[in-house]
Amino acid sequence: MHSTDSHTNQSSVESHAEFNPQVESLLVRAHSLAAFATLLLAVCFGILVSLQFVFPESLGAFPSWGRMRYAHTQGIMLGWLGNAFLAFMYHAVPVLSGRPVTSRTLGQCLFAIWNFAVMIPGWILVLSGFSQPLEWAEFPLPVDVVIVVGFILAAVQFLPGFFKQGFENLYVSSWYIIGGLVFTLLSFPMGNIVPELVPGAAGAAFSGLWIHDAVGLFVTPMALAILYYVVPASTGKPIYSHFLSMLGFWGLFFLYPLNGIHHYIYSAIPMAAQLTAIAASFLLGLVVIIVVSNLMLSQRGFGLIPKNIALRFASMGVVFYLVVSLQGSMQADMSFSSLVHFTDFIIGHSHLAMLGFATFAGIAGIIHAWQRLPGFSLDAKILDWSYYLLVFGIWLMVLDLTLAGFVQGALWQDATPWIDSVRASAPYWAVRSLSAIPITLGFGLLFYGLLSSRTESATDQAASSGNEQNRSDTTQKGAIGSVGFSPALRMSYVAAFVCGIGFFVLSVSILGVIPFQSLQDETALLAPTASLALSPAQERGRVIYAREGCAYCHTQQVRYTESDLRRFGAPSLAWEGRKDTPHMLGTRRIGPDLARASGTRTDQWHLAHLYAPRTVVPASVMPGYPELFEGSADRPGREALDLLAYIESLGRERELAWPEGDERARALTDDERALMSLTAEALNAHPGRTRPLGSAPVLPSGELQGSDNSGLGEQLFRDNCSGCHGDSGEGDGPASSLLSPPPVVFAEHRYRRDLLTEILWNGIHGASMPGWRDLSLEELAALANVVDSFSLVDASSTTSPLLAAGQSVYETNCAACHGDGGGGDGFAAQNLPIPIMPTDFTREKLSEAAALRALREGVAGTSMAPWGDRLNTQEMTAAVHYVRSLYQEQIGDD
Amino acid sequence: MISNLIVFSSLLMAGWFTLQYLLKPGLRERVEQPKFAFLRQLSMYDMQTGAGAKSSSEDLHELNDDQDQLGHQVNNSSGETK
Repeated sequence: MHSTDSHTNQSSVESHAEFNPQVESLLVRAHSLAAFATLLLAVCFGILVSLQFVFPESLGAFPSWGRMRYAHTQGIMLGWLGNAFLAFMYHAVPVLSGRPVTSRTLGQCLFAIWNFAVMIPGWILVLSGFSQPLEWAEFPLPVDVVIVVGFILAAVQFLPGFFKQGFENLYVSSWYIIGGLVFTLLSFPMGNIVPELVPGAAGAAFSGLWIHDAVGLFVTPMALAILYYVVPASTGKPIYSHFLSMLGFWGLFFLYPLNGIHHYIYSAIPMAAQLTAIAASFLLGLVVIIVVSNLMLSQRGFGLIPKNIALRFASMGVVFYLVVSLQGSMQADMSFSSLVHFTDFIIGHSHLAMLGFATFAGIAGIIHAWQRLPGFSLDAKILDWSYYLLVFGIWLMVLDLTLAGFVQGALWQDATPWIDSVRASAPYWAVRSLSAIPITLGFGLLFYGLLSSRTESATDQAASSGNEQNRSDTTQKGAIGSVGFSPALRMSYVAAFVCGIGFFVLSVSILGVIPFQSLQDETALLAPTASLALSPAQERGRVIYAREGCAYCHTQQVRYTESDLRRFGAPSLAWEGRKDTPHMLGTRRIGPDLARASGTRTDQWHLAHLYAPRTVVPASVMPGYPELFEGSADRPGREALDLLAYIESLGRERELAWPEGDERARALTDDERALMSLTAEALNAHPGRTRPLGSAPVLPSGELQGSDNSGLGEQLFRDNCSGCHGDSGEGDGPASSLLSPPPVVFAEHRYRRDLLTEILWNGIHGASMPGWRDLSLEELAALANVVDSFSLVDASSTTSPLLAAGQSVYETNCAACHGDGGGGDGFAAQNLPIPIMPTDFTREKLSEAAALRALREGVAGTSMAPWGDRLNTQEMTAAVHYVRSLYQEQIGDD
Repeated sequence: MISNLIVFSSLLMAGWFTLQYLLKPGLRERVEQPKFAFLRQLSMYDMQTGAGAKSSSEDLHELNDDQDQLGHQVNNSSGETK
């Protein structure tokens, strides 16, 4: 006799287990309505966040961009999905376990805690500026504690039924619910608290674990529990294979936690941990194919768009799951990651996961539960419209962001100015905002559909609830259809459960603890002994930086890639973030990386940029922060100065780390990546920083540009220079009044081509004029032509009877700084209080009026003093004639 | 290398379970049993609440047929194996 028969016999003994699936209808409804209310609010935050990219000036009345982004992501994950999953579990757990949930009162407490002690305070706090700058963990720690209490209550509410039922007959949805609740209880504190204690890249490793665990161990298990529940419940047929579903379950729970560090590929986190995450990501793709195949095969015969509306949402959820998971595996590939990481591709991916896969599963679960609420019926037409609007809106958004990601990635790989990627993204960001229309309408219709669901008459409802009460009063016996198992097999399930916990511990060890130790060792080896502590102002600035979500647009990690190295300097070493708690590595770049921000711009430029970003960068989409100022950019408040102090501290310690030379640091390590960082050509400081004039490439001559470039220079000038110099080079751009020295009025200056090239290439050290080395030589030449065209100064040599007198005045008063020959190289030039070099009169000719004005009044923001009270008019006129005569036309100059 | 260990251990475990599933009909029945039990519970719930699109008694009949079929397959294959 084989074992099947013995099981059947045992089954007859055990088959009449208790079956009392009392569903708490009120809690299903309450959580469903709370889910949609929080969803609509979270979507509103998301729309405002997206509109910032399209109308960057128009959101002044709202809380800052970063705060709304925090509110958006936490609202979607905890408010919408948290409530949707709870609503589903109140319906499904009694059916799956054959027992009611633990307590209705406990349910009411959980509802109150989740919505009134987590969501509302969480939102109020992050919008008021109390938050933690950790992806998917933005609510502040006190709220996190309440969330943990919520998860514990949820475990107490939903899990005992399964334990009473025993594991021998546990359906896959039950496994996912148990796994999701238990793992989230473990991973949530790890992801929210540990990065507050562990600094820098090691903290990022733990943070990365949570970023993935939030999706992989909270959202995905719950969403799959719904899909595995709704699909057979809607088709009336069992799923294709329970074996495949269990293979998927264990595969997911083993591999998902090991994915976390794929968010930090090419970072300072040890390569072994990165490779582990990459391998797990690829394997996870295979597992997902198994899961999706099983779910697809379970819907055979029901068409691409099933009639049953819950099944229709579930079916599209499965498709979303397949696409988003394959994207995830691809993104872990190192070469693909180097292209798309930090771009909108990732934003599209995360929207597909949370708003596509998980949301469609959540909707399917809610619709299924509401269809079975006694006395409720939903309007099919409303749900139909909602489905099509959501499918259209989400695919439009995801495809749009995916394309935007490729465009941004390609531009970042090139040596184009950063702002080009912002400008190229504009149409995609507009479409993304437009996609919010069908999405919001779809969600609104669903919410309306639930609110307007038809109910039975009061008498019918009373009868119905009376029947429900009767059912709960009477313990009903029903077959749960169990097959008997030996004690050993039951133990194997327990062992498997322990294994599950072991997977979590394994992942935290491999991707958290071991990298932490390794990073500690590297830090101890390479960190400079003389540590630069942040000043109190810099510390306060760091808090503001975190509060306003700056890290969500500006990373602070130079990756080990060619394009990063070229743009931002040597890759970040582990020790650079050793005082960053929590870390600010970031996962998205709208603006450039700031790990080496120190010394790249003047304080005035930064203040103008913080107050009104488009005054200095016309195409910028950065929100302004006028609330940090006292009415104008030249009156910064304490917070603006603190933030400026923090920005100026970024990268300074690395720059000063090895004053005796990097050879000493290189001798300390044999780690390949550390050596790459230490031998990088653009070592230590930001490569875009201004440099002293001198070296510059030769620009192609005007003839070489060809007709294709007509208009290029004007466009470049408008995009990059007009904010300071004004549209026609009159030095009257919106930022001009904020800068000292003020921007040059090009009509009053004639630059020799080699000097103009040097200025464009190196910037003006000490002034707000940055170097434009990220423009191509052709672009620089076109820009130089435009600057030339503004000049009204005659380049021909100046003759005057006053030259001899002028020379005498010059030699007495000016040569110390400007040099005997007027080359700007006098003996005092190197020791000026402001490090802006004196004018080189041999290569720059001023108009007579401009020169006279500068001589009489001095030049603000430079070391050029006013001479009006020391020289008479005749002397000044003579000196001006003399310095204008020093201009030497370049041989071969046009 | 930890990544190699993870890849090989995952594939080994999955392969081992798949082989067990294919070669042991008893295990196959045990593993597939919950999907039938779940649908039976759903039908019972629908019968109790009067909800659900399909007649629950119809579902139960279909389920029993499906499960019988699986039982036959298991018996046949286990007989062949022996």
